[in-house]
Amino acid sequence: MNGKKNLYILAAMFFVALLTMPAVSADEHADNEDTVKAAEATSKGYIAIGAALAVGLAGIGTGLAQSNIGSAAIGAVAEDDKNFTNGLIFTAIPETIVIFGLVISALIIFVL
Amino acid sequence: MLKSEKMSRMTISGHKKDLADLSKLLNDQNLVHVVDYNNEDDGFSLGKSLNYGEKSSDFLVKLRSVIKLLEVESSPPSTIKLDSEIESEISELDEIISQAHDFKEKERDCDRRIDEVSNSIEQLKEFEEFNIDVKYLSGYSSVAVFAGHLPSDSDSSSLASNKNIDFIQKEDNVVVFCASEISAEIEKDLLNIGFRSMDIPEGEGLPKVMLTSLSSQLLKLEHEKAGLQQEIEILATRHGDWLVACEEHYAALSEKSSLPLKLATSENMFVLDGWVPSDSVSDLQQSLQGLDIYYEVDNNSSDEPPIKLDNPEVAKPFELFTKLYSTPKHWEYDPTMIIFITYPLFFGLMVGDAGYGFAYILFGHYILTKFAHNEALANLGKILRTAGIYTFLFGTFIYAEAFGQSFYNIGNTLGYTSALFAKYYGPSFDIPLIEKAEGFSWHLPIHKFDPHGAQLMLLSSILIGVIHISLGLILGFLNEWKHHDLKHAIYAKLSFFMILWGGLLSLVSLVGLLPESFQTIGLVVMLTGLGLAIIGEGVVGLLEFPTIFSNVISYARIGAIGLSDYGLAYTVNFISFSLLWPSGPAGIIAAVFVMLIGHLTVFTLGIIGTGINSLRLQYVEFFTKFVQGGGTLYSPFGYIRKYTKEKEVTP
Repeated sequence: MNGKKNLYILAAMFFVALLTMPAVSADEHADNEDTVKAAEATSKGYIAIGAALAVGLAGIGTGLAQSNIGSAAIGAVAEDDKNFTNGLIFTAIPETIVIFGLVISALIIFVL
Repeated sequence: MLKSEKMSRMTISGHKKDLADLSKLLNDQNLVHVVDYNNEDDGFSLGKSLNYGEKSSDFLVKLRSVIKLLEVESSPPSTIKLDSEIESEISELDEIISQAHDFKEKERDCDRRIDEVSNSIEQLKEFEEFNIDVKYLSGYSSVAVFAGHLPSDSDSSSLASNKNIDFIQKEDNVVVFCASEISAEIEKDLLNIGFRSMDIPEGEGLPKVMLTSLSSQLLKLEHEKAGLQQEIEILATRHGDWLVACEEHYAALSEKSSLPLKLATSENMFVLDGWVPSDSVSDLQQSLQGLDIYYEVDNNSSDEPPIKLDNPEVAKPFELFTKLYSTPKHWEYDPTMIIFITYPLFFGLMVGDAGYGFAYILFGHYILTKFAHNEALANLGKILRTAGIYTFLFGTFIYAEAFGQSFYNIGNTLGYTSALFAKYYGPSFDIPLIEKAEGFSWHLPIHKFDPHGAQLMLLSSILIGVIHISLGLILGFLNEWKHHDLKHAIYAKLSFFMILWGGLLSLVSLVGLLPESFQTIGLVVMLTGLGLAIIGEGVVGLLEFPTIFSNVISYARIGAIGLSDYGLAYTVNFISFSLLWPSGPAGIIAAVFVMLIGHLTVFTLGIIGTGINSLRLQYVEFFTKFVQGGGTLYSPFGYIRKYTKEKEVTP
């Protein structure tokens, strides 16, 4: 239960952080140099958050999947050493998810 | 290379009386992989072990138990003992065993007494403050005694003022004496105010006095135990090497005597079924001449032979990884040679740091020298050393950094900026796809702190993935072709090869590196591949279609881990040099501490994280394309001695 509570607190903190970011509308005073700079900074911030979310959430997903598989694999290896390779392979399967997250976050940073 | 060694089938038959000679000969030759007889034919049964087998096993059991008892660790062989020496000395074994048991028995006795005394001390400590002789706390017929713990906030005034009982309280502990008749009532009162009863110690004398004597007794016992442990250790050091040598000798004898257990025997005859590497057949034939036996060699047996991996000496350690996955079948390609190239390559690309590379070389070499007598560990040492060499080379020439500091920065601090310490060196080259700033051109080294460097690392990782997976698919295609037929090979492997390269073609032309027409060509190739896969494997083919791309993307970890290892090491340096170092002497000590712990962490993570990830790329992405495995490993009959040697019999 505690874990769930922590998750809620984390989510709340994240949204507060999102809301407090200086949101600037650049349409009215597009000629104002400071405003443009601020808008650029804001969009950079959002890009960074997006990239972090992509890799971070994918990491959590991988962690959730690996925790179950990993403990089962350790059990199997404890029973018979021969299961080591299969255990390693099964544990490694969800790792690809976080790599997907990483690639997406790299795309967000480098392409946007 | 790539193929396991060719094996010939050999059957040997003869009279049972020659079994002892044959077993000795095969043991010395260490060439024949004996196939266990399955005991299925009429008139034949499994043989019985040779006459010296029982005696050897007896010694072996005794030796192993005493080795375990004395906790003897086998060390690298220093002197080689002759078997005749061992046989003449083995009578001393019983003496050593009885000594070991004697010491162990005494140690256990000591442990038991220590337990008893420490329990009494624990009990008495609660009564330390009471000035009552312990013998008065028990042994009454008409008086009940309660001793126990009272919470400090409980109200004991009514009990304390009760004239019918003796109520003695010291801090949180109480002792209550009362007549037996009212004991039930008093107990109830006590429980009501939170009383918890304690065991009443036995003995005589004031608790304080008793405690002092017990403590000195405990000290004496612990001293005695330490002495015994030392005796055991001395015994282990004095006889350890000898015991290990004896164990090996009798294990070898025991194996040698067990040959008939694998054979089919009738009343007078035996038949041995086995495999010999084809190259060694003539050697074996020559040495079999002296025996009165009959043998046949079949070079083209249709049965599945055991697998003897055939790789050059430098690649041998990497057979460990192949065997760990599964021994390949005889018609399959042996991936060891490819792992030998790619495993350290991936490792080196991931860590890519001259400092850590050097550390891995040293650590690998240390494991190799320290555990030379343990084959698996020694092989791991060799693998780590090879990986370290790649890491060092990549770290020096491609990334130009050591322990998370680029040579360029180090050079700047030292005031030396030419050659490898320059910001860039070597000729410039062109990398498509990665946007570069005005006036920027690619040179070595690739700086990990530079976004361009990071992009290049990710891009090249994916490229390595495409090559690695294509290689796997090609080997898989050849495997299938040889084992089944061309049609199977096309459906199962060529289809995915087409999907991969078709997809790649259209993607590359989509980003503008190839003419636009390649988009359609790529798409057609990919869809043809998909069609073939679906014809060959049905819905499974459709489901597996995306995995080929996720496999390729998975290689991005090579760049990703490289960057994160660098990030960790950089952070460690930043904390110690930029934050802690300038803040005075205490800061310098803290900086050194952070640096040691930090770099040790990165070093260890390199072995665990990078080592496993590099292996994972082999197993999950590469092996699944062509290795099925399930072969039997070639293990020739005979025991390889390390600590002992058999006396040469001069003819």
